[in-house]
Amino acid sequence: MHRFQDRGDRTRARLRCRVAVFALTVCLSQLAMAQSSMHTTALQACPTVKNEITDLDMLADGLKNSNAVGMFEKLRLKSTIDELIDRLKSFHAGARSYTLAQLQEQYDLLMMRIARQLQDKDLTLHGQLCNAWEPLWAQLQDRGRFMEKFS
Amino acid sequence: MLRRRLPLLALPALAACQTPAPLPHTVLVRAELNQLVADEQPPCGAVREYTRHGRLDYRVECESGRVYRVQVGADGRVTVKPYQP
Repeated sequence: MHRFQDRGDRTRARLRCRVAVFALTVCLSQLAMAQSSMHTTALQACPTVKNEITDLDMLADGLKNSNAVGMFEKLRLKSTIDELIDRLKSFHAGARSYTLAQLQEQYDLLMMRIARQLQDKDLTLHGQLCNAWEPLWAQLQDRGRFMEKFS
Repeated sequence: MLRRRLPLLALPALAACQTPAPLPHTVLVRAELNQLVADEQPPCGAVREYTRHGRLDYRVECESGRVYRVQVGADGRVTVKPYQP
């Protein structure tokens, strides 16, 4: 009799465990969907541009030649870009001072700062920046592509 | 005597030569948000607190007590507006 009760308890426990795992899976997938929708809401209407920016060097050159950004701000931006690249180098070399998500946030904020400087003064470069936002990050977060470019 | 103490004296010198510890992520984020709200009128002062609502969407509390929403639109434009919950 006790054995049957034990079996019943075990079965119920297994069932509860399965339900919990299922609920967790559903929650996580919904969270992932919500996050991906966050990605898709911004930067979906970037203006069409002729020449696309394909790497950070092109962006740095664009900034260098743009009249929208003052000289001191150019130097500050250059230094911030270099610092971010150093952090990414450390990350790809195995250091874990920052997570990849944190590095992406730092990258996004830097791009926001640059976009804010350009958006009313250099529409062409701003459009190029908008289009390059995601592809540049894809390049930076990919260890192979990053090492190829920066090692 | 000096030879024995030399390693002990070298320790602080070595510590001073080490690369500085990386800044905490929140400090870096706050610094960038400071730059983004720097030109707002009325002035923000330093960023006191921030909350991230989405990947490119922040609620920023200033030392002045003002609260701004900093976000990126679909066209890549960055807007900084007084926060309205």
